[in-house]
Amino acid sequence: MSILANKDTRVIAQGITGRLGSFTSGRMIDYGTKVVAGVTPGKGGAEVNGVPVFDTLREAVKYHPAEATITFVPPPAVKEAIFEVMEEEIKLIVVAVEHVPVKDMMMVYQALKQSDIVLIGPNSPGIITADECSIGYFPGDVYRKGPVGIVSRSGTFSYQVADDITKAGLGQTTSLGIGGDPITGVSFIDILKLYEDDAETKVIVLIGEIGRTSEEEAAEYIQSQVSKPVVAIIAGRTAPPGKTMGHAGAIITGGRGSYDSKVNALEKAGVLVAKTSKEVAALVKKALETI
Amino acid sequence: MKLFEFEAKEFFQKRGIPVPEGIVAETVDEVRKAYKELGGKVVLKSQVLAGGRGRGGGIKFPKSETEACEIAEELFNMKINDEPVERILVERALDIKQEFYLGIVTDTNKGCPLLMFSAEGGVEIEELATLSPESIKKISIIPTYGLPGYQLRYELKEARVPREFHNGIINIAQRLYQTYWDMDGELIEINPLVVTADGHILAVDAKFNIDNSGLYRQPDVPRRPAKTAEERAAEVGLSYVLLDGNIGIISNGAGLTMSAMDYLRQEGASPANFLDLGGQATEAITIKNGMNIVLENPNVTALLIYIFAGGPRCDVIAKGIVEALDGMEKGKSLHVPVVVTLHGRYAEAGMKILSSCKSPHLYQELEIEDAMRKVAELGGKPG
Repeated sequence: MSILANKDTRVIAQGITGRLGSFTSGRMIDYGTKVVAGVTPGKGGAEVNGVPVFDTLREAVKYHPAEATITFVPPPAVKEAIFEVMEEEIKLIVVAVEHVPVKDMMMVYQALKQSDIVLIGPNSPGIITADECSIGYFPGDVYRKGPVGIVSRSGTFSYQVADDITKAGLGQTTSLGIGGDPITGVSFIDILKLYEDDAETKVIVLIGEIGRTSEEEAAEYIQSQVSKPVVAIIAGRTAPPGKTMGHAGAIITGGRGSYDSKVNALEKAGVLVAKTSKEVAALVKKALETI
Repeated sequence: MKLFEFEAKEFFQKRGIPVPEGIVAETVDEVRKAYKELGGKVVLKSQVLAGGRGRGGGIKFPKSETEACEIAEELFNMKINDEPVERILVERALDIKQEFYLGIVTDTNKGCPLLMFSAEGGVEIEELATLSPESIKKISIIPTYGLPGYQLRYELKEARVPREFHNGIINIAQRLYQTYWDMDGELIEINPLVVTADGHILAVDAKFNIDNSGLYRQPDVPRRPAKTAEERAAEVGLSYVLLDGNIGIISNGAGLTMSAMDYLRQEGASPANFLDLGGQATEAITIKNGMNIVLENPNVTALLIYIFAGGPRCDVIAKGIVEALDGMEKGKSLHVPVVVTLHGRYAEAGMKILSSCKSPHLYQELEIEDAMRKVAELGGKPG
């Protein structure tokens, strides 16, 4: 088992003919992901990495039904790409690109409230289910099948944590990044719920960052709804307030979203908080031994 | 991107939000002319992007033309939060009867715009949120509906704002919301929104920040040349934040870069900066640009490069590092040790490339812990 994506998930890549799209979809296929079609307006009939390209998503779905899409289109086109997926009723969308206008995401967010579609991102590394499928940028070699479910706000930092978990002789069910933008689709809470219900996931790792209040809300949810052990790490312990640290979402303003506020909330909910990625792996190991 | 007050007010005026009559001056002489043109009784407001301008002494009420010129001289030579004053907005001073707060921000948790109003204007909203949070009235706006006037009217009644001002405030709030929405606003704020002795409602101050990701479709927003290292870095796609320590950091991805800062602090060392190459840094030139920007800072005594490659490949990044180092050694411009630790895709190939580099300043570490310790030891800890 795993969450949201597995070896049977068929994926369509939107914007597959671009540099990032062709490169990343090729790596996804190498990992074993079923990329069944690509979409780029005006490039219908072409082929990328052996995958047929269509002008519209509607045509692609007609010949190659899919359960998920990943979007590599330029930021100004992301809003429409998401609406197109909603219209075709594909249930999982990964938006890897960053710099999507926040206003566009407000409109998407409103539409999402009326649907049961899962949007991962924007500005997300995507989702990987170890040894089954990768829909995103992940370095596949790092992941091994195992009992740890990872949910993260950052991309590369989650690779580091996964690497330490694998090197400790453990492995992952699924790992996904909710995205570093101010407004994103799935939240920590949505994913915690899925891991709680997934039989193979024994321990959950939550990788947070300073800024926003998603970690505090996650802590509240964990306290009342999650029975599995949760290990967390928050990046930005030493970041000064008032400065945006890379992600538009990573900024501490007016005391909200600070490291201390997040760690206090998580510890109060019984979460084990680590200071380094190696410590995460050690705490996960300990948690597994006590189950 | 932040706009100056005078820029924000130009947009306000175009969109029918009343502002006091004012003239932007860039020299003392222009201030003198503006003083005369506005018929005395003016306020001089330094145009800076930093907050805390009032407290920093950037707003003055001169009593005469001579005094106006003296103050202007002073302001033009002043720095507010390290920011030089290049322009002064000379505005007609008003006879103020009442002050309100009116602002709209993007509520990232609810994914929609949030309007905030308080009958206790003039104080910064963060301060107001601590002093009297109950005075702040909030309305979540559904973008497809816009800002319904009746909702604000409820709040105005609740806040005991005199009825004769309701329509005027609602009108301004709706225009303010439309400006925020049409122009990809991140925050738009009037503080204070005032009622004058003769019953006019005006925006006395204006704050307007625009979402950088939306700038491409906002041709009317003025573009500013990049001045600071942070701005120059942003132009080449890097996120750079200057900090006050001495260990330079280059990493890829915001979370990973912050984790490197945290790690260094744990070793007792002090980061000189945050530099995120971006999770998808794929070209050698990216790392070269990053190294140039970080090493520009004279406080840097050692540099840490910590890469975990997901999409991009370590060998490509290693090539960039070696090219940059060779160039600097040739120009004799490299004076600090550089500690590199590579992880992820093609890490071994990357390390091999680094091993072939002849720069005496280069150190390579397999383990992150060792890299942190090494760079802290080579760079020294803060005094």
